[in-house]
Amino acid sequence: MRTPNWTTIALIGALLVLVLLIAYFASRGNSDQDKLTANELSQNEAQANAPSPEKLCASKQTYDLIKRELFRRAAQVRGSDQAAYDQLSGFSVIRMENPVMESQDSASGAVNCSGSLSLDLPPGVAVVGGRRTLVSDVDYTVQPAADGGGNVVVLRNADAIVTPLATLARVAQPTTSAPLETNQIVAEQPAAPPATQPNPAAPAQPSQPARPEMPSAARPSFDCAKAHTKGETAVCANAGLAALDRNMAAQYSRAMEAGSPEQKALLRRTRDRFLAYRDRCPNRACIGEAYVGRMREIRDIMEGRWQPPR
Amino acid sequence: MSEAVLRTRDLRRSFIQGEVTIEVLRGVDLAVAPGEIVALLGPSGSGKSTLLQAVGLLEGGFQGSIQLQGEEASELDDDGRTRLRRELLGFVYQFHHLLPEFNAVENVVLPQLVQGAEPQTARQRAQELLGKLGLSQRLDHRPAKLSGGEQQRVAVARALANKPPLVLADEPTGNLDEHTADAVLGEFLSLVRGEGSAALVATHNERLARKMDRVVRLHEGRLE
Repeated sequence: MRTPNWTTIALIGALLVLVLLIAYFASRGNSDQDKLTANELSQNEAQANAPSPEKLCASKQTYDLIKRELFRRAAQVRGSDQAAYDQLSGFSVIRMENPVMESQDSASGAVNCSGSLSLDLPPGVAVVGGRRTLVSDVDYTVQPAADGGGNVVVLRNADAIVTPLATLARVAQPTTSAPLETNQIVAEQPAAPPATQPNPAAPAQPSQPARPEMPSAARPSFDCAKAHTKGETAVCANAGLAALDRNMAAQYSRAMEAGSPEQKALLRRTRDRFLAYRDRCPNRACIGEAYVGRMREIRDIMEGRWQPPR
Repeated sequence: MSEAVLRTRDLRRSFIQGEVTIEVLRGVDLAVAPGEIVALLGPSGSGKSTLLQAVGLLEGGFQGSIQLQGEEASELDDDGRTRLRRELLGFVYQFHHLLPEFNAVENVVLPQLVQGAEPQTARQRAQELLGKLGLSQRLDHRPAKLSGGEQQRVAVARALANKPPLVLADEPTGNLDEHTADAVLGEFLSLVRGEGSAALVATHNERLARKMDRVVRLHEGRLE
């Protein structure tokens, strides 16, 4: 008769003990352990009900916050008439075209957005040139208020609206079709506060004025109909970048006419690098800086001061 | 000597990038007398723009003292700083920052109306300034219809429209070719002198800096 293999018996025994232990601890699990606390539940519920970041960029609440901020800053620049500006804010209409979420900071909850903003003023008031519609590309950040009371908006690049808005004045005769393009300053009373009492004839929601023409300046040196890179598309959509592009292209053409063969070769070589860099830019500020750097680079090449980037 | 239009004492500014603290301004003491034109010279990254942002009251986060015509700006709230900017300062940037929807004369009229000027007076002043800069025939042109040099001339006129005691200029001709840069800077300096304003002009161009009354050099966050 064969003697038993004690090593095998010991291993089988250890395995049985391990299985029994696993079964024991598995059965001890709390049936509630996968349930969320009330607090976690309410947080999840709030998150579920919160608009998506993309929707936050384009929500009516966000636009109202932007409008109030525009009027607040205009009153601050003017240095007076805050109450009148607050009141006029309620009678003005804001529109945003192409609102885009640029980025999101998950830690702070801040959502960075951009868009083309139009502010329509009510009849009876106007800014320089008799305009009642102000248009600008703006960047804005929507983030939870520090006190937990809803969201707040931080506006950037809004000077094209804030500065003229600070010149707001009554016009002699409210009209619903004030000329958007005139070089004559209409009868204004800038020394007096803007309409402290809204014109009773003005509807609470003024009729939508004709759509203002798009900024005529958004014409770069290239044909926007053929724009296909991210950088080209961004330049075509922004008047400031388009102007930069035209300036840079003119400088480049002059340099290519006047440069030595070596300078021309260098201009061409560095152009490709610039275009690649521009097209990787995540936002307009980066593209603007890329153009600034390129113009400096062209000048340095022509003045013999160019150094290859390290 | 009359009171300095601008005086900074021990002005400091640092930025935190990740775990690294970069000290951009390390205690800048600077005084600009009324009517004096000072070139702020330094290589790219030396802190020129940061210093102009500080004395232009455009950004917070600074330590030290900034006095504009004797008024301590660092103790003011947002409204107070805005008031000082409006009443005492004119700005010229490397890029004109003109409002694209408004023509040349309107861009120069705007700051005057914000100050409470009569529209007709503001328009006359704008036309006068633009005329001195050779833009009499371009008054009704929007910025996009102007050349780079013309755009920058309009920006110069806008900066001087309210006769500010101090003009801050950050590489005002930095995006222009050499010939145009020389012309625009010459006109800028002539106009500033004619108006009796002081100016602090950041540049990295030694040749242009020599055209000003005094040159101060910013090196590693300190004035030499």
